[in-house]
Amino acid sequence: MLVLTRKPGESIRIGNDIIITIIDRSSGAIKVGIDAPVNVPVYREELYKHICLENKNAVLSTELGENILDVLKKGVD
Amino acid sequence: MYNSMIKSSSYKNKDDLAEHQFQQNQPLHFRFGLPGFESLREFRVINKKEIAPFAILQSLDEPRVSMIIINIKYLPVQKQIRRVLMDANRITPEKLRKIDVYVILKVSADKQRLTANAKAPLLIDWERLAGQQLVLERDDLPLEYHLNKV
Repeated sequence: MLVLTRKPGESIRIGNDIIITIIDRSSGAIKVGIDAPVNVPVYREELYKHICLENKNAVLSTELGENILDVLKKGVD
Repeated sequence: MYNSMIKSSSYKNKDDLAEHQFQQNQPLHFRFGLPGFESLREFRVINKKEIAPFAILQSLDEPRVSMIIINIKYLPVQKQIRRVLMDANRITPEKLRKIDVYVILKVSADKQRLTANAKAPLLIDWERLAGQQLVLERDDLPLEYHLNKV
């Protein structure tokens, strides 16, 4: 992993069009600003991992796949 | 009740159904894959009238990876999702009109409940045959939106 030391107000450029700027540092947290093209996804890592888990849990098992209509019709009152 | 959702599906419109049946075999390219399945890039949406308005998103790279999805137009949470897509993700209303937005559903372990992941909608551009799952950085969109709210 590349490790760089930056102060508030300083930036890091990644490639041609991604700039990460250190906005503030206080209370043990660092606030960063990210300028990136709209088509580049930027997520908090823990949230991304949570979505990964949700997607894996959403994959239909063979049993559910074969009984999909029953599953959808079961319903909840 | 999902039963009533299935019966009252707007897929009664034959043109709508025909269009979706045409689309179902079109491979969709997901440039970033899906979170958790980043290496899977090609998917298809399977629309069957028996399960409409639900559909199946299936990986063409790994067909065992398939998930139930639903277009957000059937869910009350759609306005909220569209607003976040426009505000936070800078998707213009014009572009939003050209794409379909779906959410992935999860079946509970007891198979009695379906929840939709409203925080990570799927955007499908049928014209470009491209898809992407976005993660919306908003606390007010639930990871588990109960479908009995429909």
